Amino acid sequence: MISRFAFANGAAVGAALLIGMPAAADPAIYVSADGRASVNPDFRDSPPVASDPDYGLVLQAPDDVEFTLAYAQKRASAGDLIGAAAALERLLLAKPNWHAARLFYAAVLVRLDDLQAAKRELALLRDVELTPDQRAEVAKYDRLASRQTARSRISGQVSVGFAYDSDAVAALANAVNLGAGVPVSDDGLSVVTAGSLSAATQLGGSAELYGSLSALAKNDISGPDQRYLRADAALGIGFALGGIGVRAAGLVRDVSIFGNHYELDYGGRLELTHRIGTRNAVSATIEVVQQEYDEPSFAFDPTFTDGRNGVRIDGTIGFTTRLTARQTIGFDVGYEDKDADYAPYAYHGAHAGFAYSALLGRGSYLSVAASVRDYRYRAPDLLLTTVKRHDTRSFARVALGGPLSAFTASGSTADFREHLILEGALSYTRRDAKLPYLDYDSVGAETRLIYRFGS
Amino acid sequence: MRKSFVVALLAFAGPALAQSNGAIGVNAAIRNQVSMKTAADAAPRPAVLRESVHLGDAISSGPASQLQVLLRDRSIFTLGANARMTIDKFVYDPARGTGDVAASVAKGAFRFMSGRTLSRTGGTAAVTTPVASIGVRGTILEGVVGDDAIRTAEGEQGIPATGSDPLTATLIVLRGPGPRTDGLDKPGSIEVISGGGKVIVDKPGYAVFIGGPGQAPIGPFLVSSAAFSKLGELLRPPPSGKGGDEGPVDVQSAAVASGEILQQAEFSAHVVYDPVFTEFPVVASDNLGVVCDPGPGGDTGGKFCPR
Repeated sequence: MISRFAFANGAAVGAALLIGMPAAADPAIYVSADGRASVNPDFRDSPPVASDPDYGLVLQAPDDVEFTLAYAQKRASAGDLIGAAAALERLLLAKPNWHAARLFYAAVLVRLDDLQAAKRELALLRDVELTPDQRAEVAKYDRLASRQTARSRISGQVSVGFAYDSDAVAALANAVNLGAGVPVSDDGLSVVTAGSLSAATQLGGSAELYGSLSALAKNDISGPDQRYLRADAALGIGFALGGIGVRAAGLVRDVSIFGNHYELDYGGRLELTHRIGTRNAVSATIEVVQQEYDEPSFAFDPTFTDGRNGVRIDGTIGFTTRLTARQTIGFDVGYEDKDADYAPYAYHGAHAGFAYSALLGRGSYLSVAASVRDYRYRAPDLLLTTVKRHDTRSFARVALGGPLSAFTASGSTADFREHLILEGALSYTRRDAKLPYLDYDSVGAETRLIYRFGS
Repeated sequence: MRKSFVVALLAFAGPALAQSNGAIGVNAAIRNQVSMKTAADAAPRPAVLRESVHLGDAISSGPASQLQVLLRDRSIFTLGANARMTIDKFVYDPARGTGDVAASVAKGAFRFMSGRTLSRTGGTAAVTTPVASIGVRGTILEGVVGDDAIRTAEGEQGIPATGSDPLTATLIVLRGPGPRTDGLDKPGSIEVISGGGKVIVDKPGYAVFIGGPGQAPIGPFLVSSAAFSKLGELLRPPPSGKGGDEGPVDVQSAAVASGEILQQAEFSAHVVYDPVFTEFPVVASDNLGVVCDPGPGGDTGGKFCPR
């Protein structure tokens, strides 16, 4: 028989043995009539909770320190931040001087978006003795909590890397539509540098003014000429409208290839996002730009130097769902229509995309993306052929990356190493065209070092 | 009351819970002086860790004392200092994952964390104080009843300096998850009813104050850090002294332990967590990465280009 109300000092050992877990240190614990500690029999047969299979064990021995800590980590990783916070509160009720647990609790509160509570816990840690690593983490989470309440924010990244393409010219042709000629199949190695900066400031209410700048440059190291430079700028406002997040921006895009200016786009983009719970989001985007080409070096016939000029309209709808707290999958479909002064350069067609990403721990990630685009040209280019062009362009990429801090003993450094990410990727680019001489495929490999700042 | 609960429990939960002696929860953590009075007790006696909690058990705490009770449906009550609480209703169907929880707090500080069961299935949770009824939809709330409520709310926006009842005054604060949470729990809301008035709070950190019987709720107002600290002291013990870490077990760094999802959330496909955009933090990502999948016009390509 079990005596519900007996006390026993140090009797937790028996309880731990009974449930196969380490001993809890708290002396006041449930004991049986013979003085042995016990799990609570009322919860031995607790039906399993699908979303939290360990909860039955928690009910039996909620004071077990090691188990509770492991449980909190598991729940945090699973995205059950309330469960994680409750477990840590339990530990802190019993051990208020357990600073590492309090720091963990503060991190969970930041993720929970209870910043006031997070700041309170971090403030309590300022006056106690911490290790340098703990002190750095306190400062990091303090910054995070403050940034999220700031009215203005700025963030960005710079990256540098090397890329190999088994058919470098074809890969570039896919980017800028050099398809009028016969691509030379030749592999090449290039260095790719990129940078981006985005900023936002609240305008009052839920409206924000935001802007972004980005640039990317690709330069060949070996193989054919692959010089490519692209810059994008956007300035817009974001606001909430009846449960839908709206972003409207004007944008400018400029592209140069082989050292010559090639293309200027200007127009606008409207993005609508609706979040469904914390797992799902649907989005719709429409972009309308005027495209102005400047391609004397590439035109098959100088007569048609500006033949590509025209309006491009792209509409896309997407759906993303978080399979778990650490895995996300997304799909999108869309349609684009490109007008051109010279009808053979005008096209329209559907596109579809897929993306999957998984967080692997310590900030590392796996990212898989693929897309396919169908382009049907409006008229044959009679200077070349009587056949109307029809392309199917496919792309796939798998990337594995992680911050440099992931390679340290603790897995976290609370310094620049958490923002410096090493990424390796493999990609495959393919074009299947109705005109066989436009077919190509290219296998790519790249490695990048990325530094991210802000948040 | 317990008998009726057991019947309800049997009807909903089947034979597994029939062996549970009607236990709806367990004492999960106890600090300092916490007492319980069950149907079997003639008088209050010290609460015991891992002890079952039943419907109608009266729990009370002394100064600088706290208790955490875990319920079967994963709801959690924390009773703070100088408090008295009873769980009045508990219906839980583990097969369907539905349930209802209701508790009354007569005095002192408390914290309620809604189980995911309630959040997901639309189950209800309610907390009553002597002057207010609070409906909870999948969230965390904190409150305090009595003279501690008056002390905590003193100086807060719109709170009158006098006229509050030191026995029944109630302060209710909504906590997380907030709209920018990157966890899977939905942001929730609370509905506070008193004196013929009703206030809905759906922003974390906002509070409602009821001065006494028959008085309408004041708020919602953003609770100050000072008031929140006072409430925190009643519910969560601070470190004692300025010494080093006395934890019995090593903990991974907070970033690793907590899942470090904040840092890497933006790799979540083409819709990302973007804390810049405060009201709707999940937005379409921009293509800021390498050349990939561009359209024939040299545009930046699909949304799935890596960053």
